[in-house]
Amino acid sequence: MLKLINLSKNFTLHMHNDKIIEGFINVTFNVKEGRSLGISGPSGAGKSSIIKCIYRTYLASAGSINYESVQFGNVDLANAPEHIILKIRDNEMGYITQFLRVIPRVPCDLVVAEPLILAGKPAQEALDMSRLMLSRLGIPERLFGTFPATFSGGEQQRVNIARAVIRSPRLLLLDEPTASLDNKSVGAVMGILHELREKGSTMIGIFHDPSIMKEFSDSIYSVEEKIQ
Amino acid sequence: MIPVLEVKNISKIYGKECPHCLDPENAGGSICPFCHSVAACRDVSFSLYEDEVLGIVGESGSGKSTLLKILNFDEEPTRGVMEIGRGNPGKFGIKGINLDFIENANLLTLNPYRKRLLRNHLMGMVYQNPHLGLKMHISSGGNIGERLLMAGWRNIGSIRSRAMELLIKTEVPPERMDEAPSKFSGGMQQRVQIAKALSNNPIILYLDEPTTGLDLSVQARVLDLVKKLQKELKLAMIVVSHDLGIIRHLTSRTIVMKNGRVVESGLTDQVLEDPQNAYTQLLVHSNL
Repeated sequence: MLKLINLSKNFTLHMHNDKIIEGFINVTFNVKEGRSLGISGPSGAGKSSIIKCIYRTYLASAGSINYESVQFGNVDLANAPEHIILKIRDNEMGYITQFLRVIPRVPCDLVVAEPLILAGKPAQEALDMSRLMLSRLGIPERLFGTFPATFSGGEQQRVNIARAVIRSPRLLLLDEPTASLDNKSVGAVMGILHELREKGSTMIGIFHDPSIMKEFSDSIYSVEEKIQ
Repeated sequence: MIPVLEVKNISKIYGKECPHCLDPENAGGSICPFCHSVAACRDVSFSLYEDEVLGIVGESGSGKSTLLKILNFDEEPTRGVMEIGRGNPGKFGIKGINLDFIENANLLTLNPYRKRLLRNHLMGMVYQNPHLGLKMHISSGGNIGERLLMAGWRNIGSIRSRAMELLIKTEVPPERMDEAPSKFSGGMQQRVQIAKALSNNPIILYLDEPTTGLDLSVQARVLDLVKKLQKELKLAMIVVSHDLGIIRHLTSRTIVMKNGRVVESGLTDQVLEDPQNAYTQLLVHSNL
């Protein structure tokens, strides 16, 4: 379903005399529908950059990302027009980062319900599903109506996860989603990921903890350390 | 997918034009070194799809407001093409009004009557300065009513109830609908302007620095309102702002302008996290 071919990413820093920083080079892998791929490697090897290129937050410098979209057929995510990427993000692809960008001034249960409401689900039903998901992830009910900006790091992280998984995305990108969570929450997250896999979601993930990585992945792509 | 709005090679030159005005070589500034004309917009092209919010960023004088004025027919471009709803004009069928002429037409070359017709029925504009969008000494309800009259509404009862509905939607106390905006605070004036801009159910809403000059809490309230209405009505929107925070909050796609030219375009998160152009990198790193 997703095939990266010789994908490379460089950053040109125009403010530093056009210095070129290498992100990663010649990444090639293939993920079949319904499978989970782990990306491993030392910090700074470019793991997060690969995920960001797939989501198109980063523009790849060379290579292609062939994705079989339900809406558009075969699409190269590295070069497809922006409106196509937006539709794929809205309807097929989810992304969970280690760094949180909290949506301001929206209560927690609505933050999570919003993707469902935008997809046309009645508001009440969406809110019920959202609250159920938040409870599963251990967010106390008294916080449902408050702004996530006031939450602890771990709580924000779980709101982030809930928002991404609530639509059961067809392709889910995970960048250290469990980094700031305690063991109990990690267990809840892994349970939800397991269910998504049963439903047929394809996943690409980065996990710092080797045992979580092992539990998550069907196969592992290893990014080598760059030779300086 | 067919774009709601498509814009090709829009240029606006103030002064007598010479063949060098649009030279890519003159990247240094917007003043042509040969004839000293000012090129406010140079070959600007983009498309906007249904339900999309496009941000236009750039420093003062980069041409972003001129571009918006051209799109709203407030200003005539030197040249350029603008198309709306290509291939599917019937979709905008409005009772009693024939808009078939928009099919395959360059809207920028239509006669003034047809431009007004399109502006009154398909577009809405929110200006930075409420004095441009509102008549300050006519009641808020009257301001909205005026626009509805231009869009062909004739029944005074339904005009009043529509104005009331819009003021409630934009969180203006409806009991103040007979008061003039000159008596309102800046934030409330902006909300009346939004109500007026939305009254004709536009397919495209333009916002030119809609919250510049408002204090922070008021700004947040106006932005939240715009965001809510955009989602509810699935509006295509163009937001001009120099504030990257507002662009990040409201838009899904962004174009960056400098000296009248588009120097970068992409998904908003990509433009902000992985800017390609030297100017965009400077802009992103200048953000506090």
